[in-house]
Amino acid sequence: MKKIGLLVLSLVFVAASSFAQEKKTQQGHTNQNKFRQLKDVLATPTSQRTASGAPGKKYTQQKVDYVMDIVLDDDKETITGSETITYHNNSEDELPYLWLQLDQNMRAADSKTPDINPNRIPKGLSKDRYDKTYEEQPFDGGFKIMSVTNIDGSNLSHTINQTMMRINLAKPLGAGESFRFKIKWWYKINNHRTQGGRSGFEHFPDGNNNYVIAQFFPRLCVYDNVEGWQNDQFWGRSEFALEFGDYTVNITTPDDHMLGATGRLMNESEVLTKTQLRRLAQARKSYKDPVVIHTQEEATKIEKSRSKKTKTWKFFAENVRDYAFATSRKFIWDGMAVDINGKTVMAYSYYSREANSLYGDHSTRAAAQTLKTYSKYTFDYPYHKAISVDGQMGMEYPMIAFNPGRPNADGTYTDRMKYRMLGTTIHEVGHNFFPMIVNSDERQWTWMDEGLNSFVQMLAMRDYEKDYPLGRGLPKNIVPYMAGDQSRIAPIMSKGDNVYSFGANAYAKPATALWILRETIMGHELFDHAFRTYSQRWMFKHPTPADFFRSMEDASAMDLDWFWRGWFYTTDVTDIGIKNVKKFYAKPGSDRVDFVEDTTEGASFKKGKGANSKYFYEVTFDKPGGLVMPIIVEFTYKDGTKGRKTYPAQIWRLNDKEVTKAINSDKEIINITVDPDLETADVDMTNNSWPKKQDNKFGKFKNKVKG
Amino acid sequence: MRTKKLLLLFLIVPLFAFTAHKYYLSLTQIEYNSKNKSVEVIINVFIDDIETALTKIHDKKFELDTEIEFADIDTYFFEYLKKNVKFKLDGKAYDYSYIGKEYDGDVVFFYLEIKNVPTLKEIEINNTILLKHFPEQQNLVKSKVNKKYKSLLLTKKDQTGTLKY
Repeated sequence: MKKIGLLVLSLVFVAASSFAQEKKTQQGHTNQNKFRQLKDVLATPTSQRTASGAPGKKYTQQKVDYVMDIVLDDDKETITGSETITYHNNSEDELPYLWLQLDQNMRAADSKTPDINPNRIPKGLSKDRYDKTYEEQPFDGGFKIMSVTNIDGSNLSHTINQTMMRINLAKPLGAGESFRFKIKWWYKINNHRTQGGRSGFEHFPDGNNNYVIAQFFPRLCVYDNVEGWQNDQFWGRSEFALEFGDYTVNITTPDDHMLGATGRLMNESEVLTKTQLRRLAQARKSYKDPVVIHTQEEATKIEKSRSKKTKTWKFFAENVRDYAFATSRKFIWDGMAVDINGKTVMAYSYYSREANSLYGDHSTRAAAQTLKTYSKYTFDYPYHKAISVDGQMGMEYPMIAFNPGRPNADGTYTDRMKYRMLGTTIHEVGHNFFPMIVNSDERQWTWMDEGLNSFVQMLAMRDYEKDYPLGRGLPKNIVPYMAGDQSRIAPIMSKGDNVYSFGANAYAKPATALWILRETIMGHELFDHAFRTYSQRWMFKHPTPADFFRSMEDASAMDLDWFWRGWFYTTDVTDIGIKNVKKFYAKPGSDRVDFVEDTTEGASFKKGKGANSKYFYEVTFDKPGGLVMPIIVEFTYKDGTKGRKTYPAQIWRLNDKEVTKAINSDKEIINITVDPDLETADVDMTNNSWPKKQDNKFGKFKNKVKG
Repeated sequence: MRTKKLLLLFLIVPLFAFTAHKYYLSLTQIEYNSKNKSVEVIINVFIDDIETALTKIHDKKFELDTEIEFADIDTYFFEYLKKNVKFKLDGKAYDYSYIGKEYDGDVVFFYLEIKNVPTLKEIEINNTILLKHFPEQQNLVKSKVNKKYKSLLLTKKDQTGTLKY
């Protein structure tokens, strides 16, 4: 009895254990649905930044005023300055210290910027370069701080960490209080053509320098409820986070210089000649064409001498986030008036004769168009002027931008030279809106100003010239970048300093995102209203990405979290295609209708279909790419006509890989194509057609060439 | 130590000058046409960059995609490609013919063809497009052969790669 019992038991045991070996416990998963809301990623809304994407009732920001005396020494190529800074602590926090940015220190002899980049020994260098690199003394850049003092002249404790300086306050600055202090400094200006940089001078064979001066003074970092102090080091790539304030600036230059700067020139009659004042008055009334205020002949004459006397230009700029100026013996000056909804804004250009007639023909006009277009899509330009300078770089500051492009030596230029100069000029002047006024943190999020600006730039270029060739920002043009090696691609929501293809990452891809939103996802009306809402909410304030994402949705009733998550937070690509198509016709019976499949190869119907029956199709779309996009479908009918249907992105919410739609039509369909106008940055168009396209891009081109 | 730092500064700082940033990427798409027994290649390159390269190489100003472009520009392009893009199919070196080019916005597309390729199992590609003048340049290669998709990223460090099907 016992033996059998044991045998039975052992059999049961064996059976049980083998069953256990086949059984696998299911592993659960978190919500990976691409339509899940961004709440898990965005900061929780507060009374400072609301859930609708607007500044909240308790939103505050600091204000910093500067009174500066600046001297430009043309012979020594130095800037010497003294400033009185008034820091207004509008926050509810007590601040034990203040942080200032010392950008020029990036160029100091002991700067760590060169240390963090990989490089190799080149095959060879020009003799000039070799001498500069190995033989000559290293460039003695960086701020030489002469004194940091309280208003009464006593020393103010401070600590410098590379490009950041901490002011150690004797007693913490309370909420609502202000603190005043002074700094004296000087520094050697860099030759930006040979050394690089976003400011400096360009040296000419005639012995003169064109100065484009910026980042020339110790200036405050931003303090807010997002970063605390934004005192992330200036390594050289990611740009600036700055507070708004009022600037009173006196700039002393040789008295034969022509200067343009941020702010209103307060002593016009002291620094300009009677002729210049007369022409300036004309320019202020000229809405159709630029008026030359200081001519090429006059500038060329001045180039030949060097005045030993000086003059001081006095400016006042209200509510700006930074300050810059351009000055040279060589500058020609022109300007025109721009009507921005009844208010007159001036567009000016400063350029040397080497930039004529490219600049004479286009610079001021491009600046004027930029003001008009950007104002249309955001808000009326609030400042009184915008300047474009022949600075031979592409960089923006409040009311003044330094731009590239020169014509050939004989003054002529090709279309491509023109478009290259125009594109950058519109872009740089456009920066007045993003980030000079919609003041995002460029140190952390390059794309918030560069992406938004690159997008509105496209609209301004099209306004400037009817058939302006658009490049960057069109979905088809971002495909090579997005479809590239994943190890060299970073999501847009990455810090600028740390990514590979910086231009594609922070400029082109976000600009393309906005283009797709406007053209394809939201449409012009909804997009324009939401974009304007965002811009006006954050005018003269500091928005974060969450504020942008939330505003665009809140103002349009379009859920875009799937779009932001895919396009901004991942490096997924768009690839939507047609997996297969089944054809059916209707076979009516006495009290029901049957659908019969026609399995003929291709698009045609062969057997059994009655002449009166509609055409029925079961189309299965698949999505090899990770990004969610609407399915834009074009039907071509047998009679040659075409039809369109767009399935909203939400079609992918239940199945991220594949979806089937039933379609019925009175006309026979001979072709179905997904995304015929290349709107979604689809990286592979070979799976976009049914029946499958026989002729590929190569074949088409070959046929075209053969004639 | 100081001079070494300055060399590094020299090579790095100029890259930070511009706000209107560029990226340096070319795309070479290879497809095996089993019907025609040919290999079809489409290469796209930024016009600005190849213009700079050609100008430096030939020491004369090229104005691509303009009214004053050289009449024999295709000869220059073909010569440049022959020097910088080389194919070995199943271990054997092959020449290609230049079908033509197409400008599209910022980019120029080159169409090349290798004929008489009865079968294809492996492609070795040497791609040095723009590397001499733009050290940051990356050359992406994507291919579709016998229904298989393979790709490579070639750079200054890795100028040759093999794709197997």
